[in-house]
Amino acid sequence: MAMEINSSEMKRVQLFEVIGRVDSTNANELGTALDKSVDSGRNNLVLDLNGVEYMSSAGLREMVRVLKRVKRVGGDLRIANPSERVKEVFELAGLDTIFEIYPTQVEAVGSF
Amino acid sequence: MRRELVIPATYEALAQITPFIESVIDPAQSCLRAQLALAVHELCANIVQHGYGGTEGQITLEAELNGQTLIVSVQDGAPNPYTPPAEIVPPNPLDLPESGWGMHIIHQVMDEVSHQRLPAGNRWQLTKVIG
Repeated sequence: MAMEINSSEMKRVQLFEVIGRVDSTNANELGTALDKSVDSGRNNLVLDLNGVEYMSSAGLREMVRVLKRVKRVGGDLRIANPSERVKEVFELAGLDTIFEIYPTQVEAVGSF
Repeated sequence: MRRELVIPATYEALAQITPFIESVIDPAQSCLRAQLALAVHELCANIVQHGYGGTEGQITLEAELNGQTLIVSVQDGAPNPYTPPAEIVPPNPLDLPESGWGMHIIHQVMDEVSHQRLPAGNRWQLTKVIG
């Protein structure tokens, strides 16, 4: 399954809902979508990963890169509603303590 | 049970790894199956990126479940020599490096990871005791 990214502009947050498989073939598309938001000055990002069935380290790499970028300008990249598979990948990589992870999209958006 | 899969060394072909690994592990162990598939995927992504570096080639995978022990052998004909680090150090969360996550995941999931440089290519063996 290919990856789909839906982006919504909210009051204080740019919300991204990602669906499908995030791996080496398309992780750069995810990074580009996030970068576009940061380029336009929207540095508070929420990534809803409930629809992600598979994520490899290529996806993690893009998220880490963008996290570092937004942190430098006072923003943050927060994760909402990760599927069990994705949660495991964060834990295996040790990134579950680096990213703020919220069980729901509402909580993640409301955290800013 | 023993299975073999030969794929081209491209990122697109790596999607075949998940069903391949899942075919040798009991579906009841869905969490473990997903982790093992991810670990093998990460290794093959490294081979495509660093071993072949954009040149054409193949990756041959063999998965054998012998009792409770899963052995996955991965062989490539990659032209670029690769020497794995003697010790895998988890990426420092304070530095947040943008590489090294894949190899870290492989070592987190598997019990043993070995590498052998061949006259033309590399051979890896990933072992996991499924308890």
